Amino acid sequence: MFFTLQLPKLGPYMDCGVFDKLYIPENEFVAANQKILDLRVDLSLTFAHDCPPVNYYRIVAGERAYLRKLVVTVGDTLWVGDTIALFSTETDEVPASAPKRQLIVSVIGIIPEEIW
Amino acid sequence: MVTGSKIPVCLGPIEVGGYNVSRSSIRWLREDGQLCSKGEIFAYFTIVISSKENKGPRIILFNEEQQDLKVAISAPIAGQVHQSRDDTLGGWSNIRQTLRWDETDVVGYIEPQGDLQPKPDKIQASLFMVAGRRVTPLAEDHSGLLTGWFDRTRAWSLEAEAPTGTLLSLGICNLRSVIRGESSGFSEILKDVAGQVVSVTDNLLVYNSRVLSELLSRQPDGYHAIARDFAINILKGNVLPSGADWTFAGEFLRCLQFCHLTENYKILTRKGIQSLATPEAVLLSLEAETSSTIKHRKLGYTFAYQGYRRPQFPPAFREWLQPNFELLKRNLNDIREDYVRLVRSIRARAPSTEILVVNMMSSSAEFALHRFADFEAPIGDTAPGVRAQDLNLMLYDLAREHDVTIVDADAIAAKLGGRFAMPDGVHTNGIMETELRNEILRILKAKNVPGFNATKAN
Repeated sequence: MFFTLQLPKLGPYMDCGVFDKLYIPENEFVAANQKILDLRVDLSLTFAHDCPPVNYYRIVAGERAYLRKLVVTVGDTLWVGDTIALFSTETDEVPASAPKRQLIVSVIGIIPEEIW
Repeated sequence: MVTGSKIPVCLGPIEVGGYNVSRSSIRWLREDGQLCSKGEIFAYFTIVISSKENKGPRIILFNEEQQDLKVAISAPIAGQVHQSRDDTLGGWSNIRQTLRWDETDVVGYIEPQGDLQPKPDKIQASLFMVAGRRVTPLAEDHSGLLTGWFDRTRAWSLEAEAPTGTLLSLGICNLRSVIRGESSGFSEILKDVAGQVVSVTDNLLVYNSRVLSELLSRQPDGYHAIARDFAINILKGNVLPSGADWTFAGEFLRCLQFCHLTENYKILTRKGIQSLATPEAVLLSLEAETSSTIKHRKLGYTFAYQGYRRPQFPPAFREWLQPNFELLKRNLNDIREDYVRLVRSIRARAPSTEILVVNMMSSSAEFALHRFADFEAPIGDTAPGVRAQDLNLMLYDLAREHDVTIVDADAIAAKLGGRFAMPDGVHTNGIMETELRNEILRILKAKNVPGFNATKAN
């Protein structure tokens, strides 16, 4: 069975986010509660302030699956609803039809690592 | 000319013994005929207060704010405001002083909403002062009310009769528009109170508890060592400092030299000049207490800045910063100790000072993680929601043990819809701003802070 991971809408003002960091390579197994990727969400286009309203989020798997294909690359800007990746329940499964549903994930705000 | 139900709005008297009060003509902020609510600013002008004495050099009061000492005119009653053509001369006459203060001058007209009985022949303007102290006299900007680069802005009611008090805001970006309002002219926060509100912004230095403690204890020798070290070492780098570097560096050193908590103030009222001591109330942001900042390797002083500023640092300044500073991690206990030190230092100088701290938004129902096993402890170092909860709890302890008052932004945001009120968890929308401002004013009234403990007469 195939699943998609799409960019979720994290708050009423969010329309896009930047794919900031990937934690697992393609074709690797992802356990439930394992981190998949980080996002950087800048609300400057919809809720501008004199210091940039930027939040960072981590997407964590809510179920076990294989990351079969990453549709985007680190640094890409994604819009809400854009497909980020395809997952499958089996490692050698061939996609025969449209993905059944979205991968179950959790999203949490994170504090970015201090750059110094 | 007065027609229909338009009531002339007069300047009213002002008494400053031994001084002349001169002013510019009126700059209008509202269109002719625009509806204004009671207390809304519709126009302003510049004033200069200079000594009448002929002998010796002329003394100018409010000298360091002279370029930006303005009188804002707010609507004494709700109604349509109409411009007074006689008092709008245009050009530089609207910016620099060209007229003497005359209490009978008509600065505009107001057409009251509803029937005002008995209808007065004239009505006295409701005035308050706004003043800005520029970072440098070169940062000149006459485009509007309190526009430009200021190290400190403040406002107070000209109508204050009794000795009044001061609220000093050292809050970061999340409090700027709460304090200065949409007009940036303080009109919202001063609508009903006669106290003085002072705003210092975090253009470069973030005023967190550690930075403020250091500023309060820094002696002239300490500052000289910082300035000397900087001047020597920035020239040792491979990048020749540009004008932008020196401008940036000038602001950096100014911030490290000057402590706003120790300032006294003079204010002008209709009855003359009042001298005010250090602030009766200080407002801080818990958001300023980041988990890491940087400190000077040799001299040990802290430099806290907003992360988004870092890419804006000019090349030579950046090159100087990197080898001379090191990362300073601050855990919850460090932050708590910094706060305790700050509270004690403030109260050692002025024991009755009220200290208000705006807490952090810690709740959001839109997303959650149910398992934290993959996060290294302490989780607050990684998850901002957990960190906000930790800091808020620390603040509760501080409030209980050291008489600090919490401005509960967390509760207000939750009541107003969480991320709707604070979309990024830090900055507020207009509704939240108003609620937060009202809460600050409610606390100041409850604490009986002079100038904020009663509704002003006019």
